Amino acid sequence: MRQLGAHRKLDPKLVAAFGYFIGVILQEALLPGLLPGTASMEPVFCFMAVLAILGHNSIAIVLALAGGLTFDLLTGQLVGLNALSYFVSVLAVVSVQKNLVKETLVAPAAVIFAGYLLKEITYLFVLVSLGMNFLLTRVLAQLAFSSAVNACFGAGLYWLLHFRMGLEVKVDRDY
Amino acid sequence: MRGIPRAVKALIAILIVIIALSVVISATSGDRASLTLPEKILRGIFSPIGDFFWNIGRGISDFLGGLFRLGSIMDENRRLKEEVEALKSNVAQISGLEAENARLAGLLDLKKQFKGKTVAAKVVYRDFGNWLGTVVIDRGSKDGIKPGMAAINSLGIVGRVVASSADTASILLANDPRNAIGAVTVRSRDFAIAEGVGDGTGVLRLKLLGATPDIRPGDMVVSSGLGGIYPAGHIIGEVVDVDEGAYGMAKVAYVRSSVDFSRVEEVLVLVDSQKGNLK
Repeated sequence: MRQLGAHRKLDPKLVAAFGYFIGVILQEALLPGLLPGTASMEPVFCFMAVLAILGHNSIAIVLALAGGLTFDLLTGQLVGLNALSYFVSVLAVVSVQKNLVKETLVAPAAVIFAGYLLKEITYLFVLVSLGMNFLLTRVLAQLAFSSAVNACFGAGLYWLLHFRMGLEVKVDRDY
Repeated sequence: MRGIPRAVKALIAILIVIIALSVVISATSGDRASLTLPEKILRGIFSPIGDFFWNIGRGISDFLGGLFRLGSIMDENRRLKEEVEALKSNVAQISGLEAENARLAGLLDLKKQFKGKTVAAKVVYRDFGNWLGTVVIDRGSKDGIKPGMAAINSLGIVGRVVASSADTASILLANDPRNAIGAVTVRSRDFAIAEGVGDGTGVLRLKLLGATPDIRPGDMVVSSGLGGIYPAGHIIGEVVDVDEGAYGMAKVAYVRSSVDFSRVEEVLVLVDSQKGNLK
């Protein structure tokens, strides 16, 4: 599936920096204006998940914390909530990434779906523990739909970065 | 630390991060009189960028929406041309009505004026999440905006200010589950509390306070002014459903706001909250 022309090596730090800046602009300003009221696509989460799946663990964790904290600081309410949910999610992806088949799109898509689901459950757990109530039907529908949206976007991003642009798998020497 | 295995070190680091974030979340869960320096700096940098891209997003959204409606617009255009021919004969009558309309509009504007100071503000960006509703506006403490002030628009209550910097302020939308508004039904004068249900549809849950409340679908609900944040008389919404609850003991109603919370673009912040009642 890898393209013969993809001989260039993409720097994962550059990908993380790009994902951070583009993701913040897309998530906070462009997408809410473009698609108001629909399931939110989270490019920062998808960049973070793709980097984690490809084994760039520390970069993915830094992106998760930096991205999450930026969203929290921009909103000014419940500071740390996005950072915490991103952090828990990226840890889960990091813990399973060594066992994944990385040369197909199925496994990354499934991991991004599950990772996003975990992120949202962590987020909701904190909100409910702070005394907020949500309609169960709305929660289930929103979880399924937004996880699917982000899994599709994440799989597309994985294909672009890994198969087309040459972002490589990092092999952990301790493994 | 040299003797500690790598896995244990990682576990300790993870626990420290989780505990630190949990403490910060807890500390910032309520209204905040002022923002921290990193928040002010970040907002100062991002506000103009967010405003620029928000406008691009809205522009593209409106353009695409127009394309999807193109077919029906062409049909409507044809029908309107026929109507224009018929209406030409009524122009003389309309010019007389126009003067009357101007007078009534003037009276209406006068009626809508507020006693206290108000600040009009534009939304520059918003919380992207699925569960909470917060927007950030382009006016802040320099214009007298502080936490606890109500924000409205022509359709009703939008939310309340929860944090402000010099040039920006965060508005917690009325449909956010953290928001509660003192409410009263217009027809039966039953007092209630309107809360966001976090479903993103603009429906609020109305918890009725009286022993035998009289409420039914179609009733209009306005702010009671008892909460200290929202002045009395502002529209919250219309009752769409009434749930009797188990044994009829707990009556809960659902109110649909006229405000489209996902598309709020401008708000009016009532700076003098208690003076901000409609005249």
